[in-house]
Amino acid sequence: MLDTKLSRRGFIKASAATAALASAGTAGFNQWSNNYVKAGGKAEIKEIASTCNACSSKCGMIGHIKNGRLWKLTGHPDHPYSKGKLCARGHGYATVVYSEDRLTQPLKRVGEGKFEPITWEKAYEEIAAKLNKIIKEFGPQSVALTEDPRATGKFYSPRFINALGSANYYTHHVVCSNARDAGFLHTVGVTATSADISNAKYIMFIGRSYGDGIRPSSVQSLATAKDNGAKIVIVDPRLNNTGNLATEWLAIRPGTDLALVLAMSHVLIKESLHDLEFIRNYTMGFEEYAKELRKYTPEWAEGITGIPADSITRIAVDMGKAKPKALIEQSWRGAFGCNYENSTETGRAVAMFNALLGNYQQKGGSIFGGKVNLGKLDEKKYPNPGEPDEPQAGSKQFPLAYKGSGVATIVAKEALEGKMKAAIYYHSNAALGYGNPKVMKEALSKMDLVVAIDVQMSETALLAHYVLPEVTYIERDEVIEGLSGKIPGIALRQQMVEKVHPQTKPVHEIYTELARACGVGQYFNFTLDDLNEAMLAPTGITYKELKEKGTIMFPDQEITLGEMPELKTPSGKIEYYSETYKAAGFKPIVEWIEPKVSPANDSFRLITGKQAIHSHTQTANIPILMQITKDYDLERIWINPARAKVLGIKDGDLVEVKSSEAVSKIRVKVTERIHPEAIFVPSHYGITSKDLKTGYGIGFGYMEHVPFDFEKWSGSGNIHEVIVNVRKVKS
Amino acid sequence: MIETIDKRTESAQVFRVFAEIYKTPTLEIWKEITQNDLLPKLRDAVQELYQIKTTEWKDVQPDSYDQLISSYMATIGKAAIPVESLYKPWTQDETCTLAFAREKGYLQGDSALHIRFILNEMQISIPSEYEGTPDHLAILLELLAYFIEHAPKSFTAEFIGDHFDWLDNFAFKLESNTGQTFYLEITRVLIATMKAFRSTYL
Repeated sequence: MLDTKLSRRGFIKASAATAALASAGTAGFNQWSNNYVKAGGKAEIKEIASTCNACSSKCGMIGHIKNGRLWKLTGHPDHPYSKGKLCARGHGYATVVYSEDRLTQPLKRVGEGKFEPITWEKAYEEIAAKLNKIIKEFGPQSVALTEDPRATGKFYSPRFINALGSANYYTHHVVCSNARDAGFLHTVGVTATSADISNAKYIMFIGRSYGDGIRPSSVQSLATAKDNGAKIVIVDPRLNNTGNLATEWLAIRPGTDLALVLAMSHVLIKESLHDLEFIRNYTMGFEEYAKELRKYTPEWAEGITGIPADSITRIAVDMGKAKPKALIEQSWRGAFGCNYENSTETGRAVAMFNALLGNYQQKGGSIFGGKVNLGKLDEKKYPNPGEPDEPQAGSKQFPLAYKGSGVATIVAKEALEGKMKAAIYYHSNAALGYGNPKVMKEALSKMDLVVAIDVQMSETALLAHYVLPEVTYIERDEVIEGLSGKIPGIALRQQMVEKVHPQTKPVHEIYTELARACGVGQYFNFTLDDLNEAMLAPTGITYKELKEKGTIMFPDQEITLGEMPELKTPSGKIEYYSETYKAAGFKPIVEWIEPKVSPANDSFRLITGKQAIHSHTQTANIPILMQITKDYDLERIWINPARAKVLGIKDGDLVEVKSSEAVSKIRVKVTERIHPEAIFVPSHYGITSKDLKTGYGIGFGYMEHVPFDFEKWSGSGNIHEVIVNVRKVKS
Repeated sequence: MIETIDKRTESAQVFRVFAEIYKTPTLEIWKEITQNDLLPKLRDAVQELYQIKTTEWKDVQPDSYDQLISSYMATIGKAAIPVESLYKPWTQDETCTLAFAREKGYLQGDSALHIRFILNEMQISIPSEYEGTPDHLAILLELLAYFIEHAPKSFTAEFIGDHFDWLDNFAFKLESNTGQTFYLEITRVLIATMKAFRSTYL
């Protein structure tokens, strides 16, 4: 007999089981299984309204749950972004809940790439001790928290870091829309407008692609606009996947969008097609701006952009004639979210161009969305940590950057300088996606404490001292999210299935428990339900009702088109002349700024963008999405046939891409759909974490080639300021 | 007859020990390995019961508890998780329209639901860490050991047929994804033991 004391550890305790087994008789498993299948077939299907997490849109979706598992997913019919549809990413990313590559328990790093399990209690205790020691020794400004924000994070993350006395809260926007946000903020008072696409008669997209960064309702709106006869112009060095709906593609030289917008603005004024009444009523500084614009002629822009002056004039005139149902779509990252040294100025110029068209708050124009008035926690009962004394790191260097997002890569810079000692990353793969990975790795390795809260072992998690496993969005409730738009609304993410891994936790619990361990638990003395109830209080909606419906819109609060809201700029008007810029040491009137680098005859500018099946690198480890990549060789770089011919490169060849920062090997797609001076690489690949078995080793990481840099205005990442050489190599 | 019953009991004990090895390592099992010669005893038991000759496990056995933890974390804790659902199409439910419904590689597939159903029927509770993965090999082996001792042979045979037909794929994954041999060698012996048990006693 195999003699061991281990059998005591066994799970199966005989008494109850024996009785049950006896009652099952000799029917055996087939019968049991048949009964199970029958029972399963007839099982009740619950529908739980929630929100997707495959991208920042967070579309409304409904989880159909059978036998405690996901059974079907559909788009929420009432949610303004999904309107009953889910995109491929939405369907694909949901598989993460059942992924074998998930983090399942808290981990402590014990060597390079080596981790050991640790209990939650011990992890909290050790992290809190280190955080408090760092704060005592170096001050609260030496700790930071960065996230790709979702509803719960938006509330809990800044509250947590503020509770520690630090203002260092950052978001992923440093490589998304920081530049656009800054440009818009100091011109129209908000970081972004939305657009009444379906009613527009003339729409220009600059780098933005509804066919790649999909939001189902946006695609529907654009299709409606096209059906209604709208002109749709794509300005992009790449013919992106909105091309099917476009009437014209302007293959602009990358980095020169600002010149195009300045020249079109010039044309509008020269041809007296600007909306003088709107300008008189709602803007300031127009005269100085108009004077500055005189030099930006279409002919001047042709030399810079490569777009014929006639085309620039024609489009500007046509847009002027179509106003106010004409607009440049506000974009997210697009061409001017964080790409070039001139991106903030491009964002500013776009906001100003739309003002020339007088399209703000007009049917078919740009929209300042309305918001539902949501309540707050009672501060007498639930004390708020308040604003820390020290300013957010980076705010002095980049005073134009939107404070709500900050400049996330300042954390790495200050870590390298020895000033930043601790960083928490939540739902954020900063080490791979925010800045040059080599620099980010070095920076993170210099810090005394790095904590990653995630669902998978990202490259950032691999560099962390502690990795705290979060439940997926399918397994958690969240804070209520306000939906801004023509008709405002609210949406709720809700738990659809039980936790697959019992040791994972939702982030609101993690913050609450860690805050207690840090000695600042008094700022988290409420439950998620308390918070959501407080937020709902002014709306007249009950929590029960919201839970049932998931998304509730407020049509009685629809904005009134034609009525401009009070703007949050210092003047309360759209600012063609910015005192804020002037005070920050920048020219108060928009001007042409050269990109930081330009390709020579034998080199290219490396540019990146989205594919409709992926979001950042977040979806790279999703097998059914990555399979599409593999089936269609989507990880390839794009090169123009004229340049490929000179280099002796044929479609499918293996090439070496070499920049100042890295060398990568990849196969090529030779296509007319890319500007001859550019190489396009999709931004979703190059996973280096071996724990992400599906994504690992596919394609190369775009950011590996991007020098670690800050745009002068907004601090954004200048991620298209990259020059590469390409040569064919042997397979 | 008595001899057969004894051998079934011994077989059950063998599968219980295998189950222990696939659980998250503890100091208790490490002591059994180092102080009570667990692995040589297991090796002797399968040789005696089923005439399975194994290679020396000394060469692959971790040298320390930390190494055992490392080996676990790199293999069955991460790169090749021993959960049945991962090796089978997720569901046979034809009405399920999820994009991955017929794909392999996902937790909480039909087999997990079936084991959960059995556990519920038999009023067996399992540790919380396995609640999301009730078809983890450690649970399956414990259930098997229990059935060997308490259920009709046909019952046990069906259970093996239904829930252990993925072990070859698991071993392949261990071999190709991890580069570590301890759990691979254990799994190879488990597979041989399972086959021998089935042909000898069922």
